[in-house]
Amino acid sequence: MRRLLATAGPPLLTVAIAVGLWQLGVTLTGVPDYLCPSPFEVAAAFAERPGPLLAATGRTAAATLLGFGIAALLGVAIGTLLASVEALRRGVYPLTNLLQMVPVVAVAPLLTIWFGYGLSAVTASACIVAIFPVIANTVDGLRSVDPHLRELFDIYGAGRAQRWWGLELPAATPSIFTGLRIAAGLAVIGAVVGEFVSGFADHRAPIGIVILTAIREARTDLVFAAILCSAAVGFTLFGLVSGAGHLVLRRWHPSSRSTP
Amino acid sequence: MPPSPTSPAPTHADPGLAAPLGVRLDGVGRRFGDLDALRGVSLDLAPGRLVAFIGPSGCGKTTLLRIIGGLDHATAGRVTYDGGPRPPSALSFAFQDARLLPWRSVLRNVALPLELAGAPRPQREARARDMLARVDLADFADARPHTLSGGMQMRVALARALVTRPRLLLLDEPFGALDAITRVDLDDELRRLWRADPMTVLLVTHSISEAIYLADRVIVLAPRPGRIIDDIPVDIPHAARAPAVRTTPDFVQRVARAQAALERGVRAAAR
Repeated sequence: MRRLLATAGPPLLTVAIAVGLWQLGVTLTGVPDYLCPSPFEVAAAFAERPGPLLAATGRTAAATLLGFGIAALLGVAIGTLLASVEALRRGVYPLTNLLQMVPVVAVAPLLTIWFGYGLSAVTASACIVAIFPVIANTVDGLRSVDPHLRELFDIYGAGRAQRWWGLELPAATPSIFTGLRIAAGLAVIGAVVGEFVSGFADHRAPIGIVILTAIREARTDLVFAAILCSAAVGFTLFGLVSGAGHLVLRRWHPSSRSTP
Repeated sequence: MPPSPTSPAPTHADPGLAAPLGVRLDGVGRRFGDLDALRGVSLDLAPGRLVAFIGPSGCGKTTLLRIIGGLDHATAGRVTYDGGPRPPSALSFAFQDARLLPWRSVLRNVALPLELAGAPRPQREARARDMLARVDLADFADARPHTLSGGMQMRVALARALVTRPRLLLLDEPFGALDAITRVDLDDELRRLWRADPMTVLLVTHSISEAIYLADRVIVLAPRPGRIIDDIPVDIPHAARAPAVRTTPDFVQRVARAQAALERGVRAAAR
């Protein structure tokens, strides 16, 4: 408990000070609320209709989680393939690095053509941005397995599968979790961008559509509330992935060892 | 006979039948590009003996061990094992670094070779526990390697090498990174394990005194090209080899002979 307080205390204090300054700034300068609402007004906008906002957040969270999950599984699989097959690593891996430079905003409309409106297109958008760090970190992790340990597996005649489960996957796990943490943050971005283009604009509206609608109505307070909701999705996913990584690695990896 | 919980994996020979392996080298050479790492090495290594290889850095002693172990290949000559090809799963290695898997417990590290050979979990873990007890680490079965000292990690590596009951044990400077006191302890431990289980042991080391303290025979190598420059029999009975043996005339005389051979080899290479 004291450790949690020691870790979470300082950043929470920073947030409290920032919110306080924000409120103070808005009050003192008298900025109109359609330009920048005060924290109090943002909270009020949320409290006004929390149900729809939370439902929209839930839809965005579903697409984010689904996109992230697919990116995680597919990313590790593709990364493994690229790391194990020399020809693929030389011929394909450099291109995956280039592919991730393609802006997802530009690709999103295309996804609507392929997947239609709604969850599939949004999930695909989240997946596309999230998958690249997973691939890159999986390849990196697998490629940097200690050659001395590989030799040990040679000596005792390990088969391909034994090598994968017993050596390569565990050795690459810290690196894979680094990729997954980055992917967690990116998945939300991909989802909201996807929603801007292919989200339903009716009672099934996700956060991205809530933001667009609120902007058209000049409800800046609602925009802020919706942004905070989408950010909460990202924080939560990031926290879950970090926690999972810590659980898996805490017994042995230096990054997760409790410092004495 | 019904299998007991500690009976060995089916892929490994019965310990009663696993006779030590003899190794014969005929004109073995190894070139790396223009560099002659080894040239014309011929040796008959009798089964069940502990043979030490000493020599300065770059004399090819590690390369020789790796060739015998099948981790490298000779570019000339050949190696035979009891007159035939290298038998599968008859060899074990230990290196200067313990090479433990950090994510595995000590017990599962020791059980690794049996696991890779396909032994069922209860059997391999019973054997690994047994082996850990023999290196005095029974209480550390569930610890992770990083919580152990360097000397303890090395003993885990030794237990892992011995858990398969190898017929030939190859040791590449296994205690080279340890402090002097821990090193002497492990030397005695190694001898105890070797005398309990019949096997051929080939030990590469930098230390003349360690070589003569442990071995039945000390092969001295000279660098550029790596070759044998002396072959010193050590007929001091193993029962008489306690740390105090290092000051006896028999011991001192062999140290001097090895020292002279090493210097001769280095001088020849410098010319």
